[in-house]
Amino acid sequence: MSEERDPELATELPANGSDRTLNWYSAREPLVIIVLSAVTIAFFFAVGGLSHLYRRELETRAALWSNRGEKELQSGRFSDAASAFQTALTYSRGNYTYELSLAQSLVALNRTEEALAYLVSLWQRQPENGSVNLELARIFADKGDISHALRYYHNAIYAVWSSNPEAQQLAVRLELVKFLLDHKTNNLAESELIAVGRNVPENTALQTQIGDLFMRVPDYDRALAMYQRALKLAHHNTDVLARAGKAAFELGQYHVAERYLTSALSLKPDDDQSAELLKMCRSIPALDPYNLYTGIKRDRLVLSDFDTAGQRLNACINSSSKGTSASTLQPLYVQWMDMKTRLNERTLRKDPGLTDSAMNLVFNIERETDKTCGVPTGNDFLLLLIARNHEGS
Amino acid sequence: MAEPQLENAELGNALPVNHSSTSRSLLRFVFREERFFLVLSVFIGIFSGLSVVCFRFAIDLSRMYFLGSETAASHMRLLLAPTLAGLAIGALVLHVFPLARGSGVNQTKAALYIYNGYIPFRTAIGKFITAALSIGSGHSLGPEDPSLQIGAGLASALGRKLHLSRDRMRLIAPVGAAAGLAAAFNAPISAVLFVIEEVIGRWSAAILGSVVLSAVSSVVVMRWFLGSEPLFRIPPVELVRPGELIAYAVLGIAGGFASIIFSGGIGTMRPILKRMPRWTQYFQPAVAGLIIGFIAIMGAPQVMGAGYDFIDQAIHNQFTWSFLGILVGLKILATIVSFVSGTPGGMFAPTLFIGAMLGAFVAGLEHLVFPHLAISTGTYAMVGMGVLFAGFLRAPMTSVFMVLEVSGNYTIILPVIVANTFAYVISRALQPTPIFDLLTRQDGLDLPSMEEQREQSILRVEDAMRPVSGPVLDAEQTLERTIEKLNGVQSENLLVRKRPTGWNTITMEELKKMLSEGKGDSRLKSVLPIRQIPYLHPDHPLDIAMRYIYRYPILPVVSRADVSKLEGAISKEDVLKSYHELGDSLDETED
Repeated sequence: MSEERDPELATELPANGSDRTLNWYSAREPLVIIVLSAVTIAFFFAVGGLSHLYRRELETRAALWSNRGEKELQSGRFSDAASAFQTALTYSRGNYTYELSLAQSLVALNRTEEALAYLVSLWQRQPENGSVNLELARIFADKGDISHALRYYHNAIYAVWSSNPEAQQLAVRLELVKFLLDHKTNNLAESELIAVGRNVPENTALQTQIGDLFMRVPDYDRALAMYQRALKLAHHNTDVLARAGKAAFELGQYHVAERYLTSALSLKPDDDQSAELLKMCRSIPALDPYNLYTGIKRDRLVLSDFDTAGQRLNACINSSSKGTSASTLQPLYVQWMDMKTRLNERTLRKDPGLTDSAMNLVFNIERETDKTCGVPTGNDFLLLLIARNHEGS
Repeated sequence: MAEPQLENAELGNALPVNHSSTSRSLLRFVFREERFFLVLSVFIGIFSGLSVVCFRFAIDLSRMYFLGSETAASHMRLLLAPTLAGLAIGALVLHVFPLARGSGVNQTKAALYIYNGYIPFRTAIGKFITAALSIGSGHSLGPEDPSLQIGAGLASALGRKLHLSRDRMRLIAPVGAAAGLAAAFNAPISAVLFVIEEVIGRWSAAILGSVVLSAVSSVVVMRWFLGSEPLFRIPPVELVRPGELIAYAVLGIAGGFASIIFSGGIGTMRPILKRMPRWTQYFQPAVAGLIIGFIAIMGAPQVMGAGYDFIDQAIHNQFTWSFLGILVGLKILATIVSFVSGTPGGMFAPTLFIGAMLGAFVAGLEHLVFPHLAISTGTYAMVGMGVLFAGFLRAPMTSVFMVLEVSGNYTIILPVIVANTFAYVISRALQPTPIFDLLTRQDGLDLPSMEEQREQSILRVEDAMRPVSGPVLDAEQTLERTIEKLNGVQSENLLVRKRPTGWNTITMEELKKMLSEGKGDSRLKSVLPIRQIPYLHPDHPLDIAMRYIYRYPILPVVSRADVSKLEGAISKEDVLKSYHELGDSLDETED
């Protein structure tokens, strides 16, 4: 069907014109080349004009669909946004911005493999683009691919950002810190946070956020310092006061913590967590014999803590399985029983070193029972905190 | 006797050394036309590139106006656009552009072999308009084959305007075809290979340079206007284990069978539609459009048009494996109805589409069966494109280089070769006639089949030569001594060895005559009637022997390592006997 002999073909077949062409070329070859060149240039310009019109038409349509996509993206209608960006890309194939927006829509739709294909292609075109590196980092972070995620997060931190680069880089670094903390790589997170902390702008919310991240590391010193910087800008910010109180509490600076927590509660009395912390801040010094230099009160406090720890140990041995208690708690119980026979106010007064031995055993008991029988309550919990403060754990 | 200075038959094509002024001017003309043809090839490439750029604009604009600017067109548009465009196309190809039907590859081949390179310019215009309408409105056809014909049409028109000789006119259409295809594909190597493999059918130094120049020029122009981005976003290709090649072989087998279904469908349906009354041809493209529109509104609008965007999506794993399988079937159906209805448009893009979907489908299936294997859908889709190219279009070389060029990754070559070989072998075994040859035969034309030519058994000199029965004479000996040695020898034609490497021949009768004339003391070399004769090597095609054998009763067949070492001799009778035996064996095969 496709091939039918056209009558035209029969009449217009070329004759073998070697003699004719011989003369023809001899005379006209340069002229033919000039004419062909002129026709080529004219044709080129004509197609150039058409191309310009065509491109303008395509750009108009692409912009129309891209604007629609942006609106859908902002409204959270990611499927419609992806469709609009795909349409825009049919008119502006390879457009960097549209492809990036499409990739972002696809990420939001959890179509990560498709998004990844676009993003890898975009990255190959502009490896220094911050948004692309960040999106890639997020995809690899979601996949749990730490090495790739770190690579792209770092790329994004040092990448080129079209607007407000410092804020963008800071935001990426904070996102990286959260990712590192989520993946229990606290040392790396701390290094990143220290780098952020050096150049953090004067902004209460940001400083509070960084302080919170230091708390997660945990680096209570730097967290407290960051909260204190935030409080310089907002003295009566109850949230920051409460957070500073908690940081000071974790550092064992109970007096400092008490001051912040009291201020926080005076502004926001219904903050139960701060109230609880404040209560502990006030109770811990009363249980810590090292707050008192010498005297009967100190010895009695040692004896009281010793008894408290002994009761906790007994209860824990009775509640836990025999195997566990035999291996870890029994030796402590033997030590406790041995010391119990020797420990009284007189022996404490005679042998000042016995205070340390007794308190060391108390702290060991609280630590071991914490591991075996779970987090203690009441005075046992306070003793555990005191143990941590004194032993740096 | 003025003999040309011929020695080795390979040099036998060289022009005779004749110092007449006519020969000199003829020689100058040949070189001048050769050079001009190369320059012209660049212009053809540029014109074809510009035309293909316009063709692409036309297709895109046609698509925008027919199917709307959004990616998901309304059902009304999906149904009406290809149907109404089909009606217009039916009228146009029946009344205005009758030669614009079909893909364009065979028409270009016909121009080369039948019409001395003549393609009416009107056909190129018609192809441009009708193919833009059909592809833009959603008919399941591609722009590559029409681009090939547009390029060939332009080149032919230019050649006519410049009064090129008949030989050049025959070559100019393939030069334009390569330019058109290269611009459409954005792949110059594949275009050159395809034109040589499918249109010209032989590697010829005379045309290779022109084809390459035109293809490269057209791609440069196309990239100038449309950018140099590849057709698809290519994912990283990795062949982790050699064992994966087995999986690609499975894809090759699937591709071979899909090719059979595809070409079988076209081969069966086309004659049926051709036999229908002429008035139905007005409506055949419209009915095809209606069927495609129906497929689209049923949930597979991906089958409409060339489908490159969807190939890209398949490469990036954006379809479920079951939907990919459905797309393979529906695209085959849509392309068959589009093509057999006579709608102008090409089969390259649909072939790539079907191949990509099939590749991704096989990858999906293998992933389902062997979930532990790291199967890359993108790689399978790309290999699948090559598989269909090898199985359906039966262009094995082009299929390999096309995937290489599109992917830009050498790692893919092994999977492509393995899969393509399986597809090609299966397709050849079950469908002996390639699709392009099938179409030409259905049209009543008898164009040379490139596949048959490739696989033709060639007779060589070694098949016809015989051992030298008589003595080989030494040209340095005297005539008297030579005749003494020949006492009792029956051979009529005798070979003479000339030191150091030449050969000659003389008959017993001539020797005796010279002896009776009193030349007994003369050396044989001084009395030989001709200076020397050409010699052959055993591996020479027998056709070369045919060029000389009518002038010399016997020719020496000598070793390539030492041309003074005689391997045998060949005479006219030996050559004819060989051809006779070949003819008998072919008759037996056909019976």
